[in-house]
Amino acid sequence: MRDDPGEKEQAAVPPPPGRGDPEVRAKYIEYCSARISEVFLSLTDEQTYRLLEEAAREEGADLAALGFQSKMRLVTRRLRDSVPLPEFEEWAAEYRAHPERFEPLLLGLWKEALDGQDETEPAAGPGPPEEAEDA
Amino acid sequence: MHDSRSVDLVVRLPVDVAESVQDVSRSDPDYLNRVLRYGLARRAVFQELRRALDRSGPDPASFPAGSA
Repeated sequence: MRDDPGEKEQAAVPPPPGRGDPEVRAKYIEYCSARISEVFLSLTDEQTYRLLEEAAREEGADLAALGFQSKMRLVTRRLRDSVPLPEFEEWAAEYRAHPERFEPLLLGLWKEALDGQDETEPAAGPGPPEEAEDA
Repeated sequence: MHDSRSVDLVVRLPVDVAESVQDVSRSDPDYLNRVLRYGLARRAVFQELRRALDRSGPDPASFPAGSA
């Protein structure tokens, strides 16, 4: 029986990262969230307050009225612009080559993304969804 | 984020881990406080990044450079 060389060649090509690979994508997001969280938790209370105050002012939000989730959204948006994060393709290639370097850093939040669930998000209520838990 | 209050948690853990948690809660309760804050911060940041990615489109490569 003859092997089809084209078939063998195709099987040797790794699947393209990104689209069609939701697990790697979800793990990438969790990796980035770990980087941002570490920076956030390294801030002093005063730095945290200043960052939140600036972010709330820019978004026209009343800081005193915001709950934990909304404050974390403001923090995340601010730090996303200042914390160096890897490009997805670059990270995915590194992950595929050395998953053992990354797996210990993941807490399993990526599984939630694969399930399509967001357990802490409140049901739709009055106002924009992003502020719903503070309403 | 400065106001605080106590909260009662009941979790089921392997026996050896549960004993360790009880030891730490007696010897260094502030450490457990920091562990919980870290876990909750990671979860909240993860959810916001997921939302940002959903908004920025299906191509993950556009995520870091995308604006919120």
